[in-house]
This record gives sequence, C-alpha cells and structure tokens, in this order.
Amino acid sequence: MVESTGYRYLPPRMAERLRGVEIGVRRPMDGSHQGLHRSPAFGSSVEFAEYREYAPGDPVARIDWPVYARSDRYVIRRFHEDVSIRCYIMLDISASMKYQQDGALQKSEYACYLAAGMMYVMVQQGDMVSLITFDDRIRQYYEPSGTFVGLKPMLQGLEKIEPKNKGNIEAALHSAAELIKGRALVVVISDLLEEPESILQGINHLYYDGKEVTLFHILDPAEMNMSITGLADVTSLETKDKITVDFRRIRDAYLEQLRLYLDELRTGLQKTRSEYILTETRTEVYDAILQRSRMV
Amino acid sequence: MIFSAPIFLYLVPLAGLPIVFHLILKQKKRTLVFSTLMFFHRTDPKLNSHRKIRQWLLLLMRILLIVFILLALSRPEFVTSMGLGGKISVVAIVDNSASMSELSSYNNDKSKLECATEGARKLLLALESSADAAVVLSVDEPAVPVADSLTSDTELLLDSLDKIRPTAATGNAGHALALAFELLRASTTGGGAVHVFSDLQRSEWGRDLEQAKTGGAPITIYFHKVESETRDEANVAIAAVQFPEEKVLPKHPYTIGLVLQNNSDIVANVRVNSIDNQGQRNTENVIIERGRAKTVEVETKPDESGYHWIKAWVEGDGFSADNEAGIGIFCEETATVLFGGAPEEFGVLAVALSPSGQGQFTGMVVKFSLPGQLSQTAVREEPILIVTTWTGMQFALADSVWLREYVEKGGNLLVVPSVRLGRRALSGQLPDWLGAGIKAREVYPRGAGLEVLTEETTFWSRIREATANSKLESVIAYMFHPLALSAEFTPLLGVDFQRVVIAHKKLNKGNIFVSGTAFTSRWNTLPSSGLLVVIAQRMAVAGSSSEDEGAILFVAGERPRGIRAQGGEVEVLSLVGDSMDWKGKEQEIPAFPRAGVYLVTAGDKKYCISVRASEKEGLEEFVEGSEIPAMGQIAHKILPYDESGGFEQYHKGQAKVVELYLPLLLLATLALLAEGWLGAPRLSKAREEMTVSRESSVLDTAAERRAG
Repeated sequence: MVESTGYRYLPPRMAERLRGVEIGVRRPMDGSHQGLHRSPAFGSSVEFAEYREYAPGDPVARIDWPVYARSDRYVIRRFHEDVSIRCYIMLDISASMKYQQDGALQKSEYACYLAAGMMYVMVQQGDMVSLITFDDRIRQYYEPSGTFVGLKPMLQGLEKIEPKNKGNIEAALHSAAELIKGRALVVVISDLLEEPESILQGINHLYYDGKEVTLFHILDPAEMNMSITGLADVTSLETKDKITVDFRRIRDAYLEQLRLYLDELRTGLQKTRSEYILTETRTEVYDAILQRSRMV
Repeated sequence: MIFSAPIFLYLVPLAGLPIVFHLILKQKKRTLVFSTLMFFHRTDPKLNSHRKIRQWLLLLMRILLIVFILLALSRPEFVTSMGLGGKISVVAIVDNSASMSELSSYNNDKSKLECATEGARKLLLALESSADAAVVLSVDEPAVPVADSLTSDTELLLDSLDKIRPTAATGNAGHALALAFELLRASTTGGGAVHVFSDLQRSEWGRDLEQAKTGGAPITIYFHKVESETRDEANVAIAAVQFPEEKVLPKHPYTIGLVLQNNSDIVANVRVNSIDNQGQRNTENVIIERGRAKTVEVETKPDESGYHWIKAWVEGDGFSADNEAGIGIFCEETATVLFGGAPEEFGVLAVALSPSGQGQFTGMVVKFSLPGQLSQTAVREEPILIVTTWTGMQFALADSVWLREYVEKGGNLLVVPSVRLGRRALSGQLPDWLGAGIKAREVYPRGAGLEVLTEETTFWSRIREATANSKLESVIAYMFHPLALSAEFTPLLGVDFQRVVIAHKKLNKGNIFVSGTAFTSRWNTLPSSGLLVVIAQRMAVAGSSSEDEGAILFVAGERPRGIRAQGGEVEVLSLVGDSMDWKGKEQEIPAFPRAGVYLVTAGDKKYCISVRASEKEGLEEFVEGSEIPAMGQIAHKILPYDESGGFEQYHKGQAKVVELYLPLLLLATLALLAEGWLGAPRLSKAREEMTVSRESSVLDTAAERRAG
C-alpha cells in the first residue's frame, strides 16, 4: 500500500474512497502479467475463446478429445488470456491549466488529483501505470510501474508541476503514440482548449496505433457557463494575447461556440470509441473517476 | 439652402454634447486573464465589437437627433428648380428711401443704402449669364431707368445700381412690388424671385402692400433686412411748409413758415438755415421739446418779378435725410392799387400803400380813377386792390356785376368812408353781394379805444408777424361809422362787436375789406402809429397770386399731379436742389426723389414745384419679426441682410421652395426611435434569456454525458 498520507494529490480520504474502483478497457491490451484485462493473445484463462484445427506441433494435451469422439476431427480448444495492462496518464501542464475562476481549484490542480486518483486505481487493480506530462511537447515521462513504490516518484512529480508554457495537444499526442509501444490505455487529462480537429488528429494516431484512449476534459465552471460579466481587457494565459470583451454581450455567442466545440469533439471521439468525460473543477475527483469506471 | 431662423444654427455645436458625455461617462474596463481566447475569436467578429458599434450608433443617433431638431428649428428651405428650362428670373428691389441713408448696424462704415446696393450687386453677380434680371427702386430715380422687362445684361443692371443715390423720399413699396411682379409674370419663366433689400421701415412696409398681386405666378419673395444703427440724437424733420395766402410783390417781404417736428424722445436743439436765390441767408437756433412741433419763419424779399426759390435745412440733429425743403415762389410784377375817387377822399391810405408812388418800397403803385370809370380803368391796370368809398360804391352800382367778378376772380376790394363823408349813414343802395353798410357816424372827442376783434385770424397773425405784436392795442378812434355787417364778415377791429370798425369777408378767391373809419389822423390814430401801412398792405396782397395755380408743393418721392401739357412736351428744370434736366411726355414726368425747387414747363404753362423731404423717414419704426403683416396672404421670407452669405443659393433654382422643417422633424423622430431601439434594455434582456436557454442546453448536454 502506498503511503498516501504523504502526497498532496492523493490524500488518505480519497485513496480510501477509490479502493475497489476498477477501470476497464474495451479493446484487448498487451500485457506480460496475469491481470484483469483481456489480451489479444490466447492464454490460459477459463474463458473459452474458439476451436482451431489441430496442426502439427500443437501440444497433444490441448486436443479436445470429446469433440474428436463426436466428429472424428482433431481440434484444439483455445482460451482468452487476461493480462495486466499498461496505463499511460497524459497530464496537460500547459499554461491554460492554471485558470481558476469559479472552481475550487486550478484546472491543473484538479488534473493532478485526477491523475493521482487514476494512477492509484490502476495500480490497485494490478495494472501498470505511467505518467507523462506535456504542454507543446512531452515534458516528463515516468516508466510504467505496477507497484505503489513505483508510483511514488510520479506522485511526487505531480507536486512539482508548474504550468507555464503554451500547449500543443496534437503534437504531444503524436509524440506519445511514438513513445508508447503496443496496446495500452492512454488517459489524457487536459482542458483541450485547442481546435477539436487537431486534437482528434492526435487521438486518431493513438487509436490506430492500438491504444484505447480516455479523455478527461477539465474545465472551470466559468468556462462552461461564462459567469463573468462586464467589459474587460482579457489576456490569454497561454498566448498573452489581449482582447476587449463585453462579457454580457458576448455570453450567448461564447456558449454557442462552446457547444459547437464540444459537439465536434464528442463526434470525433465517438469514431475512435474513446471514453470522454467532461468535468468541471468543482466536480469531485472521485465522481469523475467513478464515471470512467462505469463506462467500461 | 436658406435658413429663416439661422440663430439656431449657432447651437449646432451642442450636438457634440453626447460625445462629451460619452467620454465623461465612459465605462471603465478591468483587466482579467482567461484560459483561452479561442472562443472569443471563433465568435462572429461583430459580436466582439458589438458593444462598441452599438455605442457608436447610439452616439450617432443622439447627435443626429440634436442636429435634426436644431436644423428644423432654423427653418431651412430648399429652393428647387422651377422646371421651366432651369431659367432664372430675378428682380432686385432696392429701397432707396431716405431712411436708407442712415448708417447700418451690419457695417458701421456703410449706410443702409450702400449695403442694399452691395447686396443687390452680389445678387446680380451671382447670376448665370443666361439669367434675366431687373433692378427696381422703391423711390423713382430719374437717373435710373424704370425697367420695362427683364434683361440678361448684367453690366447694364450693375450700372443702374451705381447710379442709385440717397433720396429724401418715402418709397412706394407697393408700387415697387407690383412692378417686380409684373416684370416676372411677363418674363419667359412666368415667375421667379424677388429680392428686397430694405430696412423695412413701417412708413413704407407697414402700409397695405396687397395691391401688388402675384397673380398666381410662382414668385418667391425674400426680404433682406438691413438693420439700422441705433440713433442716440434727436431727429427734427421739416414736416410742412406754410405759404401765407398773399401775393408776392417785388420789394415786399414774404414770410414762409417751416413746421419743424421733433420725432424723437430727446429735446432737440437745432439750427435752421435758409438761403434764397438772391443770396439772402437766415439762421435761427431752435429748441423743440420731444414729440412737439414748432414753426420757424423764413423771410425773403424778392427784388424783381419772376420765379424765386428758398432752400431751407436743419442742422444739428441725428438724421439729416429729412432736414431739407425747397420752396418756390412766384413774384408778380409791380402791382397797381386803384382808387375809385379823388386822392383827398382817402387820407393817407395811398401813401401807406405806396410811399413813393412808384412801387420802389412796397411793389405797388397807386392810381386814381373816377368812380364811374372804375371798371374801364381796372380792366387796363389789372389792380390787386381796388379802394373805393362807400359813396363811390353807390356810384359804381352800375358796374356792380363787373366788380363782383373782379373780386371773385381773386381781386381785393376795400371800401372806406370818404374823409368828406357826413355824419349820417348812407341813404343810397349798396350792392347786395357786398353784405355790409355803415351806420351813423359816432364821434368821440377824447377818442375811443379800438380793439382787435377775432384775434385768431390769418389777417391779424400776419400783421402781428409784421409788427412784432406792437401798437395793436393803442389805436384810438375819434370818429367812425359802426359797420352794419352780414354774418359772412369777420370783425377785425372795433370798439366792441356791436361797433365794428373794420371787417373782412372772402368772396370766392377774392377778399372784401370794409372800414367804418377813414384813414386820417382826424378820424383815428392809425396813420400816426404806422399800423396803417401794415394793415393796408396786408389788404392789398391778400389772396392768392394769379400764378398760384402753377405752384405745387409736395413731399419727395411723390409724382406731380395736375400738370397738363395739352399734348405738348414737358420740360423740367432744376432751380435748386437735385440737378435735373428732363424732357418728355406729361404722363412720364418723373418723381422728384430729393428736396428742391423745379420749374416745369408744360406747353405754354409753367409750374413751380417745391419739394421737401419726407418727415416720415426719420421715424425709427421698422417691421420686426419674420413676416410683414401688410403683405397679407403674399408668401414671403424675411432674412437678415448678409452680403457675405452667398447669393448663389437663391439661384440654384427658384420659385418652388420646399420647406425642410417637417422632413427634418421626421428624421429627428426616426433618430429618436433608433436611439430608443438601440438603447432599449429589453434587447439585452432578450439576449440574456436566450443565453440562459443555450447555457442550460450546454449544461444539460454535459449532464447527460455524465449520466451516460
């Protein structure tokens, strides 16, 4: 068991609540150890997979003799293999993640809690987990670990995160697709404040590379419902660009654009069968993880 | 574009107030950071700047609202083309009446007339070469030909303007307008514009002007009002010239009354000057109370017969154009006084009338005739006075009809008692038309005082002027016949009204004087007092001259009436005053715009015309406001005179004037509605409602996702 009391983003109460929560995957995953998740290979689990004609070289012990007795054919019975998987938590540390208006936390803090929670859940269920931080490129990569001890540097690494750079999700996802070998679960935690088209390019890369993708879309409540009013000179956290905005006048147009953006994002993610969880920073982290848990 | 109330244009800068308020009350912006500007950039660019655009639109609407209202209040008019080939017809009426000679408030160095002619000049210079125009004056000016049609010869018209000089007359505004309308109606366009340059003095423009009819022609009338400089001195005008009703004889003093009227609210202290054709000058200082009139006498003594003139003028007041008068008089030949009887019957009367007997001192010679030959002698001598005795009247009964005709035609008759007459009253018959007789003689050894009876008569007033009021009360009669008078007689002198000694009555043009006392020192003290000379000469010259029919007196600007040339040519010669040498038909005799004396020869008859300045021109009463009431239903506009205003605007089109008042009010209303619509809170509210709805849908979708 990890010493959870010593980590900022994995408090004991949260760890306690997450105990027993399981995260599943839809697609067969690669894994070297026995685990909970189905492997694309056939193995020794109790779950029957298929019959195959006997071929020279196959172990004789695997011939299904009852079938031979009935059909005079040599067939071999094959079983699914359940393996532990590798989960890569991709955490967005671009400057926009520092935003906090109506939420209880900065988006980056919330994302760290979420990442810590996910890592804890994955290790707890016997899978391996890795942490990747990115903004316009991958900033830090932690080797996958399936133990609480191995989780420690990642949890400590979360505490050192300082969002400051401009983000480029697509580039980071392309890099991750190159970095992560085989079939694995990739959990992206980000505010996704880039054009949906470019984000989906990166997601598609991961998907067609055999990864299963889960997206936690973190937004501040103010970004969701535009509660800001009045006239203001607005500075972008990432680009430092400025614009004069009358929030009261522009609110409906903003929300309309947000709706279009989310629709476009959801539609694109459906094609890659990615799991998409839109969450505000005032939603409890546990609830967000539970939501993912219930999806598969 | 013409503005009837341009004062509101000065308020147009107030349209900038919304900008000032906008800058003062501008909403303060705050600074904040946001995660991304992506959604703001993705919105319609108009939405980003929507507020700014809306604010500017609101500002624009408010400015337009103020501008439209102020423009509407300034009553602009747009003059559109008449549609008659675009031809322009213009008549410039220049008010050249006497009041225009005063300084204008527009330019303190220029008179109102100079401003008016300058305005007319600029009006004409702004015309296109194809335009037709005419210049009409409110006072006829012989040097400026009366226009009989419009002309495109601008040089000719400008030359006419150069010839306009100040007059002493009151203009005939109605006549000038009627002439202008007639010219425009007869023009190829059938209408046009009339521009009047005037001070709009009430004496001209306050009278009925509706005699001028536009006849339905499309005529636009603009009055360019030249304001007057405020006068702070008194104004005295020669309001009338009083000619005594007596004949003018050589060497005989002739006194004319000048009635001076103080038209101001200030006591006037002026000097009255006169000069006659013999170089005789008179000067008199006169003080006239405000609003009062005073008569000043001007005396002349013609040396010889013929036409004479006097020029009188006032100095020292604030307005000089009404200060001058020309006075023309005709001095007759040395006149004959015919006595019907022997010289000794008349006492010193003959000497009193002609001391030398040859007329050197009084312009009269005396002649005697037998009473029976009186008519024959009178036909030959054409006397101005026939003196006869009561007894002689009885002898002349046969010639009574002739004698009556003599008096009725303007002759004077004096009937006196013969020095040799006895105590009794006349027993014989006297002509009925005489209307008088004498009673039995009354004798007063100690003398009876004679009094002036009926003092307020021209007879006595003239005598008082001649004697300076002396000795009238010290005449004593020792004997006299009280007169028996008909009611037509005016008692002049007597003990009382029951015992009248001298009386007078008019018989048509002539005068009949009757006396109950003879003019010797035995009968009374008149010969020794010298009063006899005055009384006798007054009796001789009483009545109008035979040339008085040709004496015409009028105010400058009027056209002389009653001149008959019998088809011949009329010639006007200036004796004094405005130089004039004119010949023409009698119906074309020009008006006399300035004071002076003019001799008009019409066929074989001569007229002496005396012209004085119009006393109305000094009145500081002008038409105020935006309309001239006397114009009645004739549409017109009064504009403040502004020679720098650019007269081209009036020529861009004419006759059809479109008032922009209502369109501008409509535009102001539209601006107000637009401003209300842009600033209405319901729009914001509606947007907010819409936004809330969309937000709900977004959040609902998010919730659905979460639930799924």
